[in-house]
Amino acid sequence: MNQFHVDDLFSDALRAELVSQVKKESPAAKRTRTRLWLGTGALAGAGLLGVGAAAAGLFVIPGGEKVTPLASPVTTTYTGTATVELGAPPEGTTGIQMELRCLTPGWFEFPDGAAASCSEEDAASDRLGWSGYTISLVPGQDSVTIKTDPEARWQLTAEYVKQERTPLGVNAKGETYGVESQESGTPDLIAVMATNGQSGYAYASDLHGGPMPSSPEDAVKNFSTPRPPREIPVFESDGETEIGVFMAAGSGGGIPSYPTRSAPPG
Amino acid sequence: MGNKGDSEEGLWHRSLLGQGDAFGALYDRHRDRVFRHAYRLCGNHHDAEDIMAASFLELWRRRRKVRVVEGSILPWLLVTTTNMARNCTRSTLRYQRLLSALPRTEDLSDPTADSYRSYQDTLDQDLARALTTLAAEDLHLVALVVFEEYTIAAAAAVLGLSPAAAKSRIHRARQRVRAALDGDASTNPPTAPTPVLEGERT
Repeated sequence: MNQFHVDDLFSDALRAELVSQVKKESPAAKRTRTRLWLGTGALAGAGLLGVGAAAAGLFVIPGGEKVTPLASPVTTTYTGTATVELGAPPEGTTGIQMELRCLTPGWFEFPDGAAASCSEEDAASDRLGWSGYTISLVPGQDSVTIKTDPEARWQLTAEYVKQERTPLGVNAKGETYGVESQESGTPDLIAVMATNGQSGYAYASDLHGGPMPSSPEDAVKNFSTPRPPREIPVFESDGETEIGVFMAAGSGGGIPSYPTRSAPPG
Repeated sequence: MGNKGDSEEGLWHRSLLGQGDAFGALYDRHRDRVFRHAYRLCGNHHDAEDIMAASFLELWRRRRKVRVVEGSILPWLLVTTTNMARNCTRSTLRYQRLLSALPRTEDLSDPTADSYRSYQDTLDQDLARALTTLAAEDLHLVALVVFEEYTIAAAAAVLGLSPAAAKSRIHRARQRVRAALDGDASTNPPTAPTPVLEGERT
């Protein structure tokens, strides 16, 4: 064994674990989206840009969620637990998009129980002290309540939005492509990012390849037998133009085999 | 968007949006340097793997606090690695169950059989011990500037120091390490003077 290299088996399993932890953060993975942290000022700016651009209908991956603001945002500063009145929701509202900025350290709880904690350092910084979060609109709801310590100060920007699941795309070969979701199911071509950083699509059959387990015992065996990650091709949405490769996670690193696969085209 | 997605900041941004592959690409990019750095600080292969793993897990857990310096997360990651290595047992404890669940290739070779390797081990451990004589902030500086060849400006930025303060600290820190190594006659200091780069790198 080489002293100066990481054990491949260990590294592959760690990589799979990291990838799956990160994926838990994705809106597609979470129906009830919890929270989205953005790191630095530059990134926060980029994130906002992304929201604006997404709202304008740009670069929404088919099958992804499109968020359209329906009313102008309300920004107010509060101390302690308070309810922010937003007025009557416009027709078509599906959620409330919020940005919470903490002005003092503390623990801030959103209406559905998700929470953001804020340290001394966060509160002092324009870049660190904010978190973005979108909740689904409950019928009859026209306000949001943020619970916190009596002396904690915070600022909330909230606006009504309409979240829409965009339909999956269909290419010339009749294959569907886009983001998998509960509503749309698994497309033939799943949106991935290639190792070279290019965005493209990988065949679901490649991604989740391998025989399905035939019994619970078999599934346990599959799951606990490590299989190394493997390279699979990444295409443009036409399913033909190859633009890079994607490292499909091996099994045994915490990623179970996929339960369903879409039927082959044709 | 141009090709922003290919840059490290782009990958980091995508990671924050829950795109696991982007984080995977960052892992691929920095794994070896983080591992080597962890190894340098602890002088033991197995611990270095644990520290490397914990550093990446910590990178994700504390993603909201990460400072991107010169378009890269590596300086932050190396600082975290240094912290992990300094209080190895305490900091990896959080991830202990996960770490021990990750599979490893059995190491069948007998470490005592290979004399080169045991000599190397001694050297590595001497350096690791000399580095423990440094205060946390100084160790961060030495790690970034001496070992990883960051500019003093970049190191100062990630550590929140002024460049002038960083410069004088690093000078003292290097003297300390050298003294700690010289105190042990069996070793040649592997920290021979290294040219230190100042100013911004473009």
